[in-house]
Amino acid sequence: MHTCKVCGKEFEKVRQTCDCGSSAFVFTKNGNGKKIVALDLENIRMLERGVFEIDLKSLSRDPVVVMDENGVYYVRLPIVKNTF
Amino acid sequence: MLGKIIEWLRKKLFRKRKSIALGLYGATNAGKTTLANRICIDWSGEPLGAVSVIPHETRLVQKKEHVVIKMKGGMTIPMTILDMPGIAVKVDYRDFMEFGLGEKEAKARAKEATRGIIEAIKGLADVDAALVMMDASEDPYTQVNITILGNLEAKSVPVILVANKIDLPTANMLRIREAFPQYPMVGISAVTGENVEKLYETIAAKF
Repeated sequence: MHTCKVCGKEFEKVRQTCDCGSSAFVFTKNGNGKKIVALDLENIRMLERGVFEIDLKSLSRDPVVVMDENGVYYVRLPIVKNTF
Repeated sequence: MLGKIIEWLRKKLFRKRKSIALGLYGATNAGKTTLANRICIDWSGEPLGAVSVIPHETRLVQKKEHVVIKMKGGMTIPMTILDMPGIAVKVDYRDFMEFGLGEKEAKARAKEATRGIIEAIKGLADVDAALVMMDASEDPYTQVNITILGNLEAKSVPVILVANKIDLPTANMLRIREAFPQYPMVGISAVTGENVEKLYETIAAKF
């Protein structure tokens, strides 16, 4: 199930945009019900190789933190104009 | 006219300086807490935090208020010292296990360290001036150093580069000078105290 992050409309099949114009969707496996991903300090968590949970709401804040399947953290430092 | 000159001189010489929030930034194990402790012991008699060879020993911002540097000629610089957690782009719990920590403890430390990095980056906006610490025995042209300096510059925070560990035989301050020539730089050894007086003089002159 693909749920639009903006209006909440649900779609069985993946699509580029929602009827409301948003292109942000939360994917949940059928039968699991609606699941909004809210992670702890990381923004992206790798559950297993190729499977990720993404806390979309938190992605706008710096720095972006990715946690891999072993619990190792990768920090993407905020980008500034490189003057050096 | 003479009265105005005397008043101007009085204000210039005896004005009370506003306390400045001085942040210590840098990569892990650059010597931030060692220097923060030295400044705090020199000017307030008490250390600030624990020092360790294990990376990410400082995982929370450590703060010491009412630290007053007294210079020759009666000039005083009241400061709040903010010792920031070390910034890194990767935190791997296995690095802590090499120092004897168990897996559970190491994973908890990795999480705390990552939280500390986030706190340190957010704290870049909250300081009046910054000492950016670099290990003089290592290559200074790193993503961490560039990000710290770039963010401080974007926020117009005055910076002094501190080339630490000049007591090591492999130390090379010239690399830091060449990498970041636009900033004032002082070479010190936070462990031995070598040249720290010069750092105090530079703080008084620049901040």
